[in-house]
Amino acid sequence: MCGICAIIMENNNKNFPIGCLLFKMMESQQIRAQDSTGVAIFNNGSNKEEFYKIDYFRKNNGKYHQVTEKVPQERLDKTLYELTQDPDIVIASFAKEMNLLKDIGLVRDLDAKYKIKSIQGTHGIGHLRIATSSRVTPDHAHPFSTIVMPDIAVVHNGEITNYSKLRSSLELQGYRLFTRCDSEVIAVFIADQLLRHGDLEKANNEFIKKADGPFTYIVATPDSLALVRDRFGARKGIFGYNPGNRNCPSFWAMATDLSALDSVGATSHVETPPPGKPKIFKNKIMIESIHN
Amino acid sequence: MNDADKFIIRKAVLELAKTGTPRFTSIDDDVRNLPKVNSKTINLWDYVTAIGAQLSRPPYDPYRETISLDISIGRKKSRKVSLNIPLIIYGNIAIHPSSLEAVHLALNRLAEKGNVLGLISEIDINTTNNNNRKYPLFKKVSFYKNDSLEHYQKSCPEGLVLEYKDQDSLRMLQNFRKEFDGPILVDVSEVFPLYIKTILEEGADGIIVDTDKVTKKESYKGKHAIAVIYDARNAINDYYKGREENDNDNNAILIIAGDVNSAGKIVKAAALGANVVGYSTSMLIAHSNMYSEKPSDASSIAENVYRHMVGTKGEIKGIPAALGYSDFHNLSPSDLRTSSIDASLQGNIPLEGVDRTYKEMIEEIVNEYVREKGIKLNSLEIQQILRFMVRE
Repeated sequence: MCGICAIIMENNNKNFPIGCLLFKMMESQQIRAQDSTGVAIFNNGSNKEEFYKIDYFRKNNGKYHQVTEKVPQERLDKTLYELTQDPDIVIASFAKEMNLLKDIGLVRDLDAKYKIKSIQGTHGIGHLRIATSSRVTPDHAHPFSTIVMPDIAVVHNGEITNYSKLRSSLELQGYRLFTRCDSEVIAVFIADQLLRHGDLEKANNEFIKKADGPFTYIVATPDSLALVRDRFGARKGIFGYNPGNRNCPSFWAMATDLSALDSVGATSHVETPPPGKPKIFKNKIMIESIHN
Repeated sequence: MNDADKFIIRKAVLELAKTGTPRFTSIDDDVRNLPKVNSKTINLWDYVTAIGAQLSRPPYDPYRETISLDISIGRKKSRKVSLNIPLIIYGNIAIHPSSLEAVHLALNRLAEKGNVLGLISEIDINTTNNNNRKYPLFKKVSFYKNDSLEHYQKSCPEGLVLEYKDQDSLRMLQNFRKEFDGPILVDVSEVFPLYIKTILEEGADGIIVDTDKVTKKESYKGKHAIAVIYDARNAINDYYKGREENDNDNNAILIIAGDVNSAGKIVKAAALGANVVGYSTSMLIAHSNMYSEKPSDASSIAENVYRHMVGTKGEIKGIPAALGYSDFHNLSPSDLRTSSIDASLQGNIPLEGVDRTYKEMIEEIVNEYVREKGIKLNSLEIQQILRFMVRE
C-alpha cells in the first residue's frame, strides 16, 4: 500500500520548484501510507564545487542522528571505506546533483523539517511508506540510494519476494547493503547494471527478468526516470502529461494513484506502462518521442 | 529483545546447561501436536516449515500464472542442458536393468508432455527405445575402470558424472573437461566438504552431494541433511565470492541427493540452496516391482512412475506459488523457519516467532553481557565464546 510519485520537467527546466508538485502528489496519496516519507530531487549543474555529498544515519541506542558530509573526489574512496566499516552507520544517500531527504512521519512533517516545497530541480521522486517487511526507522524510509555510483535513487511499491536471493547475489559480488529493505536491492542492482553497460532500459529489463513478486518502482538517475511494473502487472503505476501554462512549465508525472496526477494537472496522455516493460523518461527528445 | 525472546532463550540456555545438548523442540510443540522425540530419532525436516505469502506478498495461482521450474545446467563455456523439472533421477541404490527401462519409458513420456527431467545412470539402458531418448542422460563414469571418454560417449550422453575420490579423479576431470563440451557434474560425497573450490576451478558444471553418505562420515556424525546442504551451498558461494563471472544463470549448480525424497523436502532443500535434487523415489517405485508377486511389464511400471512424477511436479510448483514466487529457484533460506534449535544451528535457519537464528540470539546475549560488564574482548574472543555456547 505504499505510494510513489515522480515529476520530470520538459525542456530540462531546472528553475521550477518541483518540490511543491511532489508535495501535492504525495499529500493526495497520503491515505495509502503514513509510516515514513521521502523525496529525491535532482538539479543538474547545481554542484559547482565538484564535491560528493554523503548523507548517513548514525545509530546510537535506538536513536538516529543524520549527518551530511561533503567529500572531494580525492578523499571519496577513503571516506566511503571508513563509513562502511562502522556497523552503526547506515548510508542514506551518495550524490553529486541529488538532494535526498527522508524521515519517519507524514509528508507535511518532512516539509516542516526540510522545506521540500521550495526545492527546485529538473526531476524528482517521492515516496510514502507503510512498512510490511522491515522496520519503521528513518534509514528504512524511501528513496533508497547506493554507494555503488552517485545519484541513483529508487522508490518502490510492493514486494520483491526473492529479495534475499538477489541480495546474496549482490553481496557475493562485493556490494555492501545497509538495510533489510527489499527496495535497496533495486538501487544496487540497477547501479551494478549501469556500471556494466550504462543502459537504463536494459538495466530495468534485467531486473524484471530476475525479480519476483508484485512491484512497481521508479528509478531516478541524473538525467532520467524509469517507471517499471512487474511482469504480471500486479501493482499499479500510471503516468500523465501536463502541457503547462503561464505559471508552470510542462512536465510528465508518474504515480500510484490517479488522484496524484489530478492534483498536479497531469491529466493528458494518461497511460499505464505495460507489465514488464519499463517506461523511460529522459530529456526533451525522449519526451517528444512519447508524444508521437 | 522482547520478553518472549528472552523467555525462549532462557529456557533454551537452561536446558543446554542441564543436558549439555541443544534443545530439539520448541515451546509450541504441544500446540502443534508434534510427536515427542529424542535426539537420536528426530528428523529435523519435520521441524522446518516455510513462511506462506502475506498481505503485501500475494500467492500466485499455479493454475493461472506461470510458475517456472526450469533450470539449465552448464557454465558459460560448456553446452547447456535444460530441465523443466529440477530433478535428476539419481540415488544410492543398485539399479536393475528392467527398473531402468521402466524409468526410461516414464521419462520419455514425461518429456513428450514438456516435463523434461534428467537421469544419472552408470549402466546402459536395456531397451529397444534407447535411440529415441527424449530426456538428458548423465552418464556416470566408473572411476576404477579408467575408460576413455569415447567409451562413455557411445550412449551419446548429454552430460557426465564423475565421483571424486582423490587426485586421480581431478586428473580425469581435467582430461574430460578438455574434450567434452557438455555439463560435467562431480559427486563429492566421499570427500565432502573438501576440494569443492578446486573442482569448480577445473570447470565442473555442478557439484553432487549425497546427504546420506555424508552424514555417515565421522566429521558429520550426529548432523542432519540440512547441515550438509547448508555447508555445500556455502562452499559454492565461497568460490564465487568477489568473482566477475558470478551470474545466477551461468553458475555451477548444487545437486542434492540422499535424504530428499518428497515434495516438501525438495522445496526445503531448494530453499537451503539446492538447485536440482537427485531424486531416487521414482527408481524405488520401479525397483519395488521386482519384488512383487506378479511383476508387471516395464510399460505398466512406467505408468506408475509417470503418475508419481506428474504429482510431484504439481506439488513442487504449488509450494513456491503459495510462498509468493513465480519461479521455484527464487526460494531462499529466508523462506524457512524452524522450531528446533538444532535445525537453526545446523542450517542457519531463523527460529519461529523471533525471526532470528539461534546463533544470532546467543551472539546478542554475549555482546550485551560483555558490554554491560565492561569486559574487554576482541571479536575473535567473542566468536570463540559463541562457538562454545552453541557447541560448534
